[in-house]
Parts: sequence; C-alpha cells; structure tokens
Amino acid sequence: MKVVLDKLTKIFPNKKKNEEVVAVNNFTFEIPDGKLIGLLGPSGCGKSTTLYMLSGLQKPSSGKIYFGDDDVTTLAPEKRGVGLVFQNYALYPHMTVKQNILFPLQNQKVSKEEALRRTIEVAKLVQIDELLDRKPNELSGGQQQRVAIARALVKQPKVLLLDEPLSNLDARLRLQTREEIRRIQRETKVTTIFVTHDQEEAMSISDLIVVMKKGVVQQIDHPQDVYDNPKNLFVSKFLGTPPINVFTGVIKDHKVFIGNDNIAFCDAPDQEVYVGIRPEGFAIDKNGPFKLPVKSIEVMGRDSSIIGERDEAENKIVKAIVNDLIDNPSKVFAGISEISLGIKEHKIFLFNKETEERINVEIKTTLADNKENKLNKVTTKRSVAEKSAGKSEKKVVRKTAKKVSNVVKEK
Amino acid sequence: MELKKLISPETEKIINDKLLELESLYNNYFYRKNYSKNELKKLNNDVSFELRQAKQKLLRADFVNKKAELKSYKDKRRKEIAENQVKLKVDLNNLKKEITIKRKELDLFIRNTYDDAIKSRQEEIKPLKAELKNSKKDKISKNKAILFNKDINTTNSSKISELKKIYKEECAALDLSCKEEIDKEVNSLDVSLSEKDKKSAVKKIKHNISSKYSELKIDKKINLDHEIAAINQNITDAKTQISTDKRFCKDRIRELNNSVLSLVSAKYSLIYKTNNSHLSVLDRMSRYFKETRYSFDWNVFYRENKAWIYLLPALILLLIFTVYPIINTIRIAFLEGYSPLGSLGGQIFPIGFGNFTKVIKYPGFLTALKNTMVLTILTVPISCFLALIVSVFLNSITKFSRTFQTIYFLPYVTNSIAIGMVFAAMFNIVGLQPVAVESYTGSLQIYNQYVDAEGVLRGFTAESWGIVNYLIMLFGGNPINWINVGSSYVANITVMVIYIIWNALPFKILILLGGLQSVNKQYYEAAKIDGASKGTVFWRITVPMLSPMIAYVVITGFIGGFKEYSSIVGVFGEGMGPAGNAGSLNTIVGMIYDSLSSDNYGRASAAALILFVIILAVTLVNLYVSKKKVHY
Ligand SMILES: Nc1ncnc2c1ncn2[C@@H]1O[C@H](COP(=O)(O)OP(=O)(O)O)[C@@H](O)[C@H]1O
Ligand SMILES: [Mg+2]
Repeated sequence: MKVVLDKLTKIFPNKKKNEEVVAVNNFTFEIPDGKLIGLLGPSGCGKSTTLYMLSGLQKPSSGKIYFGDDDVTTLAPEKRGVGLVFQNYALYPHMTVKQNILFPLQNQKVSKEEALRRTIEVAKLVQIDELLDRKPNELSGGQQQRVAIARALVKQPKVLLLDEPLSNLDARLRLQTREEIRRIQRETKVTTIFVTHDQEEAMSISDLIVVMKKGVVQQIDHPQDVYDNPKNLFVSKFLGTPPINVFTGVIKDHKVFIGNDNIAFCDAPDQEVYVGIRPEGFAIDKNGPFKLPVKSIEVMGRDSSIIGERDEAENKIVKAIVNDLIDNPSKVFAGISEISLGIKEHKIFLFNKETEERINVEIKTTLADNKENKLNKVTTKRSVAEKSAGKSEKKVVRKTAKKVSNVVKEK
Repeated sequence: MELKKLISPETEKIINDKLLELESLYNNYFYRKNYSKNELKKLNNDVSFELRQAKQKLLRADFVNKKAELKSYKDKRRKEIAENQVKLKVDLNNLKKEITIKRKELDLFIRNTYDDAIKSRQEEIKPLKAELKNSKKDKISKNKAILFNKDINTTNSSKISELKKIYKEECAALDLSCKEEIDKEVNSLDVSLSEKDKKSAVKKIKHNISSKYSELKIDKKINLDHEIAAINQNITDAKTQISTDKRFCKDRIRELNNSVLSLVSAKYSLIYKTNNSHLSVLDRMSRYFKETRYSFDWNVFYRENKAWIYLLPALILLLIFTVYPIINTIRIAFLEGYSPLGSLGGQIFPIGFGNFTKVIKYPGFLTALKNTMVLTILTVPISCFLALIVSVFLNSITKFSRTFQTIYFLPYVTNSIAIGMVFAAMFNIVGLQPVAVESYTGSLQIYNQYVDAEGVLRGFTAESWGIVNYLIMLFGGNPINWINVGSSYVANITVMVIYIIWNALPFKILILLGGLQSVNKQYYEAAKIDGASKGTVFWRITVPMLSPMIAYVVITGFIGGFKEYSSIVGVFGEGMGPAGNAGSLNTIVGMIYDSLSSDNYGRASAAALILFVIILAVTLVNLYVSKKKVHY
C-alpha cells in the first residue's frame, strides 16, 4: 500500500521556554507501495516524530496522511494497521516471546489456532522459532530485535515502521540484522519506513532515501543519486565516510579557484562558492592543479589516504583517498612535502555561499572522464533539467519517486 | 686556538649504552620484585571481580559452578605463585649481584677515562697558559715604554703650550675688532632718534655683534682641543692597548680552566647517574604499582569497606533495640512463671510451654485472634485494589496531578488516633440530646439513649445521629447504631474496616504511583499500536509491570493488619470495644499490651511469639505466591 504524506507538520509547544519546536516541517512525499524508505538525518531532526505521526501515536499539527486512498490523519493507531518497531524494542518484559507476538492477535480477537499458526509462521520468517518460550531478558540484542519485528509483522500490517532498530546492536550484528531486515521486507513486500541516523545503513538498505534536517526534508532520491548528486551542502556533508572535503573557493571568469589553484572550469557567473570534493575524487597527477601540503599518510586496506593541510578547507584538513596501486605508500611519499592532485569531474560539487544550495552547472576538470563518470553525468543533467523546468518541489518529488519505481519495475 | 676533543664519541656512546643497560637491568629487577609482590593481591582482586560479574550475569546453577571453578583456579594459581616466588628470589639475588658488578665496572671505567682526559687536558693547557702570560707581559711593557718616554712627553707638552699661546692671541684680536665694530655702528646711528629709542638700538647692535664674535671664538676653541688630542693620541693609544691586552689574557686563561672543569663535572654527573640509576627506575615503578601497593592504608581500607563503615551505627542500634529484644522475648516465652523481679533476684525458671497454654486458655485470646483475622482478611485485598485503581487514575490525569497526589497523601501524615476520633464522631452522635423517658415506675427519667420495647435504640433527635447516619436517613434508610452501647459486632467491624482502609490507602497509593511512574511509557505506546483495549492494558500490562510493588504492598499490608491495634483505640478508646462490651474488638497486639500491663511477661512474650509465627507463615505464603506471579 502506498503512503502519502501531505504537508505534514508537527509543532511541539515548549511551555517552559515559551517557544515552539517545529519537529517536522511541511513534509510532502508519496511512498510507493512495497518499497523500503530510509528516513535519514542527524539526531533530533524529526525522524521519530514523523514515524509516530504515521503510526498515530502523535497527532500532526497540520497536514494529512493517506494510506492508499484513505485519509487516516485522525484514525486511532490500532485501526491503522501499522507495525511499529521501537528504538529499544519495547518488548513486554513479563511475557514470553510467544506471548509478545500473540498479544496483537489476541487484541484483534483472532481465533486461538489461527493466532498460533501465524505466530509460528512469522517466528520462522525472522528465525526465532526456537526461542518462543523465553523471556525478552533472556535474549541477545539481535534476537530481541527480531522479536520486535515479528510482533510488528504478525498482524500483517499495511505499513511497517522501524525507529532506529539497529542502533542498540554492536557493529557486526548491525550489519547482519540490516541484511535480515532487507530480506524480510523483500519477502513480505510490506511498505516499510526505516529511520536511521547512520548514512551507511540508509544507503545500503533503502530503495529511496529521505534526508532531513531540523524537520525539513532536504532531498529524496535513490541512494546512489543522493551521494552523487547532493542537492545542497548539508546533504553532501551528511553522506559519505570519510566525509566530503569542503573548501571556500571562488568562481572567476569561468574558472574555479581554491586559493590560487585553478582546479576546474564551469559555466557559472563570478561568485564566492563552497567547493565540495569527495575524498575519492582526487587522483595523483604530476600536472594536477591542486597542490596539497602533505601531513601524513594513512593506509587502510587497499586504499591509502593522503592527509594534507589547506587553509581554505573546513577544519584546515584535507583527506584524499588514492588507490593508485601504490605498493608502499609511506615509502613513496617519504620526504614529499607537497603533492599535485587532479580532480575527477563527477566528484566535485559547487555550492552557493549563502544558500548552500548546489550550483547546477557542468564542471570540467583536467582529469579525463572515464565511462563510469559519464553515466553519472547523465543523471546530473536530468536533475538540472528538472530544476530549470521550474516545477514545484512537490511535483519534482513525486516525479522522482515515480521514476525510481519505474526503474525498479524495469529491473 | 682550538682545544681538541678528549673523550671520543665512541667512548661516550659506550658509556651511554652501559648506563642504559644498567637501567634496564634495574628495571627488570624492580619490576619482577614488585610484580611478584602484587601478584597475589591481583589474583584475589581478579577472582572476586569475576565472582561479582558472574553473580550479576549468570543464573544460579551456573554461578555455583563458576564459583567452584574460580576457587580451584585460585588455589592452583596460589601454589604456582608461591613456587615462582622461591625461584624468583634466587633469580633476583643473582641479578642484584650482576648489577652491582656492572655498576662498579662502569664507575671505574668512567673515572679512568675522565681522569685521563682531565690530566691530558691540564697538560695541554699548561704551555698555552704560560705563553699567554708571557705575551701579555711583553705587550704591556712595550706600551708602557711609550707611556713613560720623556722625549715624547716633553715634545708633546711644548707643542701644546705653543698652540695655546696662538689661541690666546687670536682671541684678544677678535675682542678688539668686536669693540671697534660696535663703536662704528653706534656712531653711524641717526641723531634725530629719541633717547629711549637710541638706547634700545645700541643694545640690539651690541648683542648682535658680540654673539657673532663669541661664535667665532668657540670655533677656535674646538679647533684647539682637537689639535691637542691629536698630539696626545699616541699616549692614549698605549693606555687602551694595555687594558685590552690584560682583559684578553684573563679571558683566555679562564676559558682554558673551564675546559678542565667541564670534564670534571661530566665525570661526576656520569658517576652519579651510574650509582643512582635505580632511583629513577624506582620512581617510575612506584608510580606504576601505586594502585596495588601492599601495607595498610586507611584510604584503601575505607574504599574497600565503605559499605560496612556506613552501616555500622545503624547495625549497633539494631542489635541493641531489635535483635536483643527478639531473642529475649523468645527466651522469656519459654520460661514458666517468669517475673522480672524474680529474674533480678537470681531466680531460675523452668523451661516449658506453660506460657503458651496460658495464652490459649486466656478467655480473650480467641476473640482477639478472630478480630485480627477478620480485619486483616477484609481490609488488605480491598485497600490494595482501591489503591491500585486510584493510583492508575492519578497517573493518567495531567492537570492538577500534583495537587491530587498531595490530597490523597494527606491522611498519611495525620495521626491515626486523630483520624480515629474523627471517624468516631462521624459514626457517633454529635451533640447529645437527652430525652425524657417514662420509667416503669411512672416517673420521668433523663436518658442519653435507651432501647425500646421492640429493641430499637432510641434517644436522639435525627440531626444528632452523626453524619453517616444522617446520610443514610437522607436516602430514606434507618439509622444504624455503629459504635455505641448495644451496637452489633457487624456494625463495629464495618466501621473498623472502613477506617483501616482509609488509613492504609495513602501509603499504598504512594508506592503504586511511584511504580507506575517508573514504567516505561513506551510499553503503553506499543500496546496502543498492538490494539489493546483499556482493560487489556490494565490487566496485561499495568498489573504485571506493577507486580513487584503490588506484592510489596500486599505483604506489608498483611503484616500491618496482624499488628492492628491503634486504629481500634482511635475509634473505640482503650476499652477495645463499644461501651458495655469492652474487649469485644480486642486484637492480638491489644492482648499483648493487656498482659504487659498486668505484669504477665511470660504470657505477653508467648502471645508475641504466636503472632510472629502467624505473620511468618502468612508472609511465606505471600512470597510463594508472588514468586509465581510477580515479574521482576
Ligand atoms: N514530546 C515532545 N515535546 C517537545 N518536543 C519534542 C517532543 N518530541 C520530540 N521533540 C522535539 O522534536 C525534535 C525532533 O525530535 P525527534 O523526532 O525525536 O528526532 P529524531 O530525528 O532524533 O528522532 C527534537 O528537537 C525534539 O526535541
Ligand atoms: Mg529518534
């Protein structure tokens, strides 16, 4: 079932300070049926609030929610048919796993045999059928998490909502459970909204990513597109580890400068800009325009990163990942105090200095583009076209969503 | 003049290496020594830490296993450590010997090397010093010869006096021409000028011309000084040359001496380092091992036994005022015919069950037991259930919740005797209205109350029946004699049940409300999502979540119920029953007091023991039930 959020807004009054917190601001989005949506943003940006409004536990201040074609804005939670997995699972500690999973069914007055059948079915699906007689505190974090999902799934919800379900797990379990959730979602085909503040998690699991900041939706796109085509500085900084390098730069006569280095060419009017360059966007190049005083070399597995210092960079530190098949990077770089780097065209972004919005122009650098880059440029152009068409954001959003669903269908 | 380096870098390096070696030997020595010292303590710490961890984490059976396992491990390690320590001692002794030898060797080596160097340096600089002194003498005598040469001195002074003479003549000539010029100017002045103007003009002319000439004179004087200085130049030169020569020699000699001194100081600093390298090592070690140092330390003792230290005062008081009395009560209960006076007089009492038979045969005992049982069994479940309902509602309201909580809690801070008196007033007669009744003799008699021929209590006007009866009558019922003369047992017990419940509610509400507020709200949200109705939420979420508090409230309720006494005093007074039927509402505690006041300590103790056994039994049943039902 598709879920539509229409100008959804939630304002919390703060009695003590006599001010209002706009937790969610004008959120409009149509979630396609059967997709897994990653709701991504830093802590306190309103992700949980959005989820609670969808579940019915909190009433929106304004705006509407549709499940399919039904307006459910004022419907009580139990009548919405949603499954909600809380951040700390909220399993009833005094009930066994089986009783926990049975609980929603008993409330729906499902017959005993039917309820038991479904419980065992869903327990098998999440692979906890061996643990049915245990109490939650006798389970590991990952097992508790599965029980919580089973409890949410057993009533065959139309929408499954997960609030940071992996944040209480350790790193390895998180990876494993992530895949598990993906598998369960694929098998049940239930429309799922997955809240997380971990960009990697969102990237790896979602069909579509919604990036939020302080209650405002920043970008809705295919995971790779959000990475390759960030709409603004915030999005570009929020995605990617190690994070993007941001420099203060300037455009002069169609040349992009960082300090005195003319690193790229573009078709934009003269102005001050933020230049974002992904760490993997650098390549060692004798004639490269970007001069980087080298501070240290970090070797991580196959990649080695050059840590350098530039005053124009945020925090003055620049990180460049180069995997140019250097066998012994520390030896190669020993004694080199400055290195020349080239920049890959599709890894560099320009942002308006005031609005921090992306400046959507074609950028040329001295490094030749390879095939992979060209593919990406097509998407760039597409989003540029959308923007220039001057359509309202809402329409763009719907269109992107549709496009994505089309792409998925074709596959 | 460069001095050549006497200690070669190779030698310096050798010494340095040897020093480092020595330090590392010390390091090894102290580390092993300290380590073995601390090993036992560390083992104890580790094992007790593991044990604590295990106790928190593991189930009971696993824990017992783990404990045994740890114990055997500890014993094994202990043995190992002891064996190791014997071996270590030998090792350490050898090491110490080795260190001493090495140290002495190094000491000697340094001394020899540096003494040689110092000697050769002294030899080296001896000729240099002598040379310096000689050249100094030569130069000074050369210059002194210039300084004291008569010829030079006389020619110089004659030249100077000649120059001075010329200078004086020139000055005189200048003065003369100055005067002439002034006169000439003054004479050429206009005659027509007034006296006053003339004077000022003359003054001006004089000033101008004389200043011009004095400037000329100053020039001449400067010239003269220069010329004299030039003539004396050779002498001043000789003077300065002497002083510079002197200073240069002094400096050079000091430098040479310093070169020896630096060797000496280097030697002693190295020797100091050699003989004291254990100090720096020890310093580092002591910092390293500080946390686990042996020997008694009040701070450590405090840290490890903090709990006991803080518990001690309360523990002592408990021993004096609770444990001892309990033991004594048990003792007295089994002493037949016990009396405190006899006990003081050294009387020996036989042991037996006499006191218990006395209690059971005591006429009031069965009544007291029955009353206690009835009151407890009626009040505890009702008050617990009511408290649960009230606290759930109190927890659910948001407006004025604090105010309501305070109101519900007020009875708790009110004296129960005072509440009892208020209850007595509510169920009693307020403002007695005596009535005249015709007696069988025909005379009128004034009664407060009387029972008429049909057995109905009469004697009061309607408004004097107390507020409860007033309400009953308001709804058309018949007034009931609750607590007065002739009141029924059922009426009495009803009043007591209402009173006790009322009195017990606040504490229970407080506990349950506290429990409710600590329940994670998310369970309720989850239940909402799961579509649970209000009733389901109450019975399947709230009650199980609160079960520890409920168990607590029920158990303490039963214990309190069996100890009921003051509430009956509050309503009925010390008669423990309505007037004319004293003792009909007595309880076991009341009976114990009776026995005490009639000096029957044996009976009182036995009754207390019986009460204790009853409470113990009921509590055990409670705990058994709660173990099955309560979720912790
Ligand atoms: N019940 C509430 N009352 C007041 N402010 C709230 C409440 N719940 C959330 N907020 C505020 O709304 C903002 C968004 O919160 P939330 O949705 O929980 O963020 P997150 O993205 O971390 O899940 C935060 O600034 C938070 O302080
Ligand atoms: Mg949250």
